[in-house]
Amino acid sequence: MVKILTVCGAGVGTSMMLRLFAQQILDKEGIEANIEAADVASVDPKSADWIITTSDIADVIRGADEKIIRIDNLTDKVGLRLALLAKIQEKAQ
Amino acid sequence: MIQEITSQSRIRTKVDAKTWQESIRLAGKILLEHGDIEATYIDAMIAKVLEFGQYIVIAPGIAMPHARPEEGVIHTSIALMTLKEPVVFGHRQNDPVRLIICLAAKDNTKHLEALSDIADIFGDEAKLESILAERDPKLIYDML
Repeated sequence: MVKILTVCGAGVGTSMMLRLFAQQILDKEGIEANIEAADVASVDPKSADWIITTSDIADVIRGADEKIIRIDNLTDKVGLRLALLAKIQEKAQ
Repeated sequence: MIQEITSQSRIRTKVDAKTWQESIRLAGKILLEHGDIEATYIDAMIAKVLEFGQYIVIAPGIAMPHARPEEGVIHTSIALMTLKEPVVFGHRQNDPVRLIICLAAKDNTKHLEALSDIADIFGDEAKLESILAERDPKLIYDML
């Protein structure tokens, strides 16, 4: 099972929105995942396979560049789906 | 649904604001007047941006300022505010901002459906444009 962290500054708004959409996308694909929302101050990049966050927050998270999926338009679920599935395929190869 | 945690009186249209700080303060004031937050919450929303950047600009033209539940939330609530003139927040892709969705979340669950609605409603470009053009809060409430 993949472990995904969605991260924002407060852990209740942006990251919750990302968690919700990532869950919907992966459910539809039949991919089992454990997705948690976190605030950037308490995030441990090592505890996740991937981290979904916005560019500003991504710049603050250190030492996890290859794990990070950057999403800057949260109303664009299609874009999130493409980015997420590309990352999953990358791992499968 | 988003309608359950906002109201006509929490929607303001064509508000005059010059800076991102002023925009957040004015939107926060709507929640403050309704007893949804304590005054400290407004400063906390601005502090989050100063600390972590403009990640609250969640989509082109849309900012969703918020802070943590323990930073002064009394009730889960949302205020919507459209701006008379677009305001530059300093986001790399999504500037300038024309709509503020001010979020106060009391816990990690009650507002989740509203967040999902936000993406569906404001991700619909035609709907977003009609909301931005509308002056009557009642009609915006009905569009949600």
